Amino acid sequence: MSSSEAQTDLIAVAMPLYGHAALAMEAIQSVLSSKPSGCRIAIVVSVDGDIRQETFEQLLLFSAAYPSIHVIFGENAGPGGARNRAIDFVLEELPEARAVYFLDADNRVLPTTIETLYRTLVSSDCGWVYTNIDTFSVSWRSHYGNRYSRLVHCITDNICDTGSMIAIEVFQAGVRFNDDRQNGFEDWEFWLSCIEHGFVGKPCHDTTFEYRLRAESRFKEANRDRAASESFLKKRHKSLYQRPTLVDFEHEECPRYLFMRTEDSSLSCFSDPIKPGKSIRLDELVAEFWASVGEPDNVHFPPFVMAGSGATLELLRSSHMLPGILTHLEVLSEKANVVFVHLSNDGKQRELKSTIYEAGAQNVPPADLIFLSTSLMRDVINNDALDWFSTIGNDQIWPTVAVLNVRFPYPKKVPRRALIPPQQIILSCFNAVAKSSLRRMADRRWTWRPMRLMPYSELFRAMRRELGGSPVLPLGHNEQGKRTVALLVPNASFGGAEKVIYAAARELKASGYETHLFVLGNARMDVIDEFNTSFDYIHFWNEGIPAWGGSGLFVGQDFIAEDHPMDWQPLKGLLSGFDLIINNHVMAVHPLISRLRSEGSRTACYLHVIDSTVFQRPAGQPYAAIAHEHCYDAFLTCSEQLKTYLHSFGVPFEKTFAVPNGASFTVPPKVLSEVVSKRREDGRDRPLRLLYMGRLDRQKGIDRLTAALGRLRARGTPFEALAIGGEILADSNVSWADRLREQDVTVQPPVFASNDLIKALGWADILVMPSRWEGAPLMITEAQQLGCVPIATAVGAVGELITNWEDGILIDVPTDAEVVSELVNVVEAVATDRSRLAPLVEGCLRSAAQRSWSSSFAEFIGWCDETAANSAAARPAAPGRHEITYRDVAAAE
Amino acid sequence: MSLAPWQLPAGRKLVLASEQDREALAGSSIEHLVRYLEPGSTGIPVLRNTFPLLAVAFSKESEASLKTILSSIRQLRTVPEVEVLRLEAGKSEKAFELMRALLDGGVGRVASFSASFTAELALLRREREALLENYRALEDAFQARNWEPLAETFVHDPYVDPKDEGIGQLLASGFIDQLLPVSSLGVAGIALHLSSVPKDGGALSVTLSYVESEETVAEWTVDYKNLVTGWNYFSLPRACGGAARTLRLRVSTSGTETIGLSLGYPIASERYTTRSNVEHPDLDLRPLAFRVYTGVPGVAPTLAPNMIAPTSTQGTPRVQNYHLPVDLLKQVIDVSVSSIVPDFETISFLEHEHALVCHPLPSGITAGAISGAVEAGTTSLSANAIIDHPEGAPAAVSFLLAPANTDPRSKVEEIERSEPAFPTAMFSGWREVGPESPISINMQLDEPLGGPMDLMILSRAVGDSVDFSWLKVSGFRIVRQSPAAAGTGDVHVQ
Repeated sequence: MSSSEAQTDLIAVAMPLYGHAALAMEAIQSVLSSKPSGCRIAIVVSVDGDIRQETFEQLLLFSAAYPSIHVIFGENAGPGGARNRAIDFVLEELPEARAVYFLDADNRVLPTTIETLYRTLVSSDCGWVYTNIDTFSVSWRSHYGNRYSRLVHCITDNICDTGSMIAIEVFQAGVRFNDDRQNGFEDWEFWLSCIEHGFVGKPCHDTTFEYRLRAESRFKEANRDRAASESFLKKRHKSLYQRPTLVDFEHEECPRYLFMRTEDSSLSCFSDPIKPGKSIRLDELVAEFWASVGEPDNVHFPPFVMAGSGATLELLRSSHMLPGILTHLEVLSEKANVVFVHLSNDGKQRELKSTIYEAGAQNVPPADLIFLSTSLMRDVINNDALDWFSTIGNDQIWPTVAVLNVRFPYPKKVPRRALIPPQQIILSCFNAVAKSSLRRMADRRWTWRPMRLMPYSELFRAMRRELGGSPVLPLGHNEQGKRTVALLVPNASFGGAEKVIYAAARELKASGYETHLFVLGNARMDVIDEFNTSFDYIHFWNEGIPAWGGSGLFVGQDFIAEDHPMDWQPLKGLLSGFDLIINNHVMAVHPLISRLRSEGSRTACYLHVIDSTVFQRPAGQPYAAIAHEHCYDAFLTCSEQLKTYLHSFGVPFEKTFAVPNGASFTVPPKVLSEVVSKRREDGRDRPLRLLYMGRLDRQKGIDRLTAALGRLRARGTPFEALAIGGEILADSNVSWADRLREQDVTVQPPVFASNDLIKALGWADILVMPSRWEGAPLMITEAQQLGCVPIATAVGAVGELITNWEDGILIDVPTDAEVVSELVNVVEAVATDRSRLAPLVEGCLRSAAQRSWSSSFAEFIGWCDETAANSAAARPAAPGRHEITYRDVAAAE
Repeated sequence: MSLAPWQLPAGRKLVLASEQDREALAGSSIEHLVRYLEPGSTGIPVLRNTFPLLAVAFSKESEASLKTILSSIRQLRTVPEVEVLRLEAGKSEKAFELMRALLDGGVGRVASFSASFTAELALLRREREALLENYRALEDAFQARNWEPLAETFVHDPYVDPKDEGIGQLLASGFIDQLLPVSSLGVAGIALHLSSVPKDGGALSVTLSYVESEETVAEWTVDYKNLVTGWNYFSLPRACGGAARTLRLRVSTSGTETIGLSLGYPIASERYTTRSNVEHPDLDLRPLAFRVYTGVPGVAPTLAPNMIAPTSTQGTPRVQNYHLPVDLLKQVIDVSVSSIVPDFETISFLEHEHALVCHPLPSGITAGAISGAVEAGTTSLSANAIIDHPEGAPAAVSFLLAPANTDPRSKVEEIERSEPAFPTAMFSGWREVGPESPISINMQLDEPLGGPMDLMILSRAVGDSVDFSWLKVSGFRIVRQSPAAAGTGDVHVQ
């Protein structure tokens, strides 16, 4: 801004007036006493239905004496409404105004207040400039920090009084006060609107205003009902209070982690490990450490410190697990002094496993990364315990150590191994801090106004409190503006239910969602090539999450209630802030869903099967889910049958999506064509090939299978049989594998790789599934896509996957004996007359060709697109004054 | 901000009328005072710059509609009852005149009178508050300290870093600011630590002011001879009262000798480290060594070797004593008047010494001008000069002031032509300077300058030779008196 322009700048002082008839004169007079150089002042008094006619007479005289005093009389609209009337007046009648200063009618300014604040505003990019608060009459004062933080402003308290200088661009952008009478903190609410519009504040300690405080005040009144007022704010500004927004603020303003890089001793700070961190020099770090000791409300020092090579951090980023790992490290740093992270390359699984070592431990695995809390750093330095701490680099370590072993498949290009141990840089940094000359005076606070703000080092805890979860997943909004979806599973192995959720993730990702897999109740995951790229992030949380619990009963079925003795904090901290959450059989999450939903997440529950107890009582996940029906926006089922069943328990049809299952793997066209042509050409002269795939247990009908095969052998039916699956010893006191082998059945352990599945299903003519209960088994669709004819009991939704004698054969009889007889008859029929099998093979191929996960999920994803918010796209605008100012507009005209 | 007496600002409306009567009021002498209201409008209207003292109607219908709207306005409660005056269209000129005279002139007259006494009332209220607060604070302070007159509320001890270069030169050419880490409330004095004090040859200037209001609390200008090595106590004539504010100390020196002002231990709280207009490595994260005392003014702390009373205090015109900013010195331009064209630069700014070079020529006057360097209100101007070469020929040096926006070279030509033997109001007179010892050039003005002036530094030869006559002028110091700030009403009114 040039100085000649500054000469003409007009500042409007907006003064709402209600109930201060006898004091307004002082407020007005204090403004009239201001003699700002380079700008003019206009006063706009907005009389808010004040009942005193003294006000009228006084303002009439002021207005008659000073052309710069404008008066608006309006009906009572509350302080917000009165200020809005003044703002509208300024925008309409005083278009040359560059800023608005709000002065309550009972307060006063110093002669320099307006000029100093305006000068600061003009020289900054901020939306408003605020001061410390010094009150008179009842004397009170407070220091509101040396720098502005949106995170502090959102989650701790209102740190800016309305008596601030606000750039006119704020109002041109449409920001106004909320005049809802429920709003006890209309000033705080106003600043939150400013933040949402991309404006930030700036403190100015070079001036102040005189805030009149009496024994009883409106502020005190509002504080008595603080909880209700805060709840109002949070509902109105939901987007500000979502985890990604708060983490973004934290990342930019008071980052959680300090990373010391071994390769070049560089230092950087971040919260979101995916976003670029802020570099910091060692000498700055030393100064900030000591400043944060003496003036914790003015200076931030990250609450966690870690050291390692940049390559290690990069490797962890490539694992898709880094944000989740950081949450584990936060928790482990509370259990042990120091956390060592040890990485291993494992092509078959992802796994997190921690071990705690007591003081004096030896043979601790080497650390690729070291993590600790800053509070330990402070203790070590304050207690001159560097010798004790420096043993982290020795064979015998005296601080307690937690080792987090992280296994995952490394990328093809494995980064170079670190040559410098992380201990070295961490010790050198500790030494630099401990030996600094700033240490001597560090305990003394120099800022004389009492501390009002929370120490920056405690903000990460405040954020945990705000979100009701701990630790908080350190992920902000994605830069691509994608919706985020959390898909929750209780374990991540090769089960059908998991594969369905992986397929859902793949389809959602293809539709533009950022996908997060949460394995809750387990800390490992088998790598399945087919779905390896379905997830942008993978998070594990094992500790304290029960797979099942009966703290409540719903129509005779167990469910986990909110008062269940478990630690809800990690779950809430991890799951908060997603646009969409799909719970796939994680029972412990149901009680949280309602809270997550009220914070803005859309919620869906994926159900696959109704289980059965040994006494044939229907049981399983659907009942716990139905008990929480109203918390979910949608249900997904693998079948129409289950959808109808849910409806019978009060789940509306319209909120249930029946998603037909597809195959969990794709068959390369060349391989498929080879398998099919082989099937069509030969096989008539050889024995029928039977395949059983699945657990060798009662649910899967292994007893029925063994009986049927025995009878077929007895009848001399020509067949070869292969059984692939694991045995669950607890299920029976007999070895089903041995029994099968006795009947000349080849028994192999379970296979999971697509190639192995293709090989087995390509070999077999028929897939036998004599299950007692099922959902909609993927195995049927997988067999069909390779022309392997499924013969299955008509349980669960099997009937929706097989059209009898068209693309498979259904055995639809009630008792075990009948199932065995029917199975024997059917197998014998196709084994002895192979011409009966050929049309079924073609039927399978036809059905499979019509099936795809994309079409299965299309309707659900359409619903998601319509219903789920996109918080990343709707995030608060980036800070900075809006680019188009009224001058630009005027120039354009 | 205020208007000429008895004239209402434009746009102020004092009379209400129905829109139906607009024609009847058009062109009348009260038209500019009328706010028209739309008949049939519902709800409470918002009145902008409208103070209804009277309502007029020219028909039964307009009167009725006006009364309906007035009943809505009455709900505002702030606005008093308004009478509707029934007038006859085309026959009310006299009534209009009467109304204009009463409203426009009358209200204007009362407003003008009221403005003066409300200003005074506001001041009185503020003073009463301060008086009550101070009275109580005084009582509390005595009782809390068991009637001890003085308490040390903050101390930051001196610290000598082996790498310290000393800030004496910085104080001579610039200043140091230090914020005090205690509230102003009750502060009665401060102590500064000096590690070395010359016996004479200069003075220490200390200013204490409020940060938030920019008002000066007190100023001390102390000759070196009145200072001691160690702690020096600067007493206030009365303790700071009123509201609690932040205090700022500004320290600088004048004269040819430099003083050893002590710095304290480094601290991490950057806002409270010393600030200067000149960068200096000693100042990095260092506050001054200082002590702050609260209590009864005029009482020296125990064992204090001295007690220095302020030179200027509250209630007197504010005196600013400062060095010319370096940025201003950098703007020096050559306005020399000489027939000789030298092959070197005779006027230049020495970046590291914050000094100007003004090398004389064998004939004519070498002159450097700094536009607008001397502000209105300046009462004196001084600087140090020396020939900065052991074999340099002596030269004569002087200051010349000229009103801003005049041609500086023409003023130098006037000096060359008239060759004044003695100083005049705007000319310091010539003083001879050699390489051996520095001299001080002083220019005392008869009265504060009425407007900004250009400053010119002139040099000329005093003998046959100007060899190595590198005249260096530094430590430009201005003493300026600013007019009293009117109507601030705070405790320390300037």
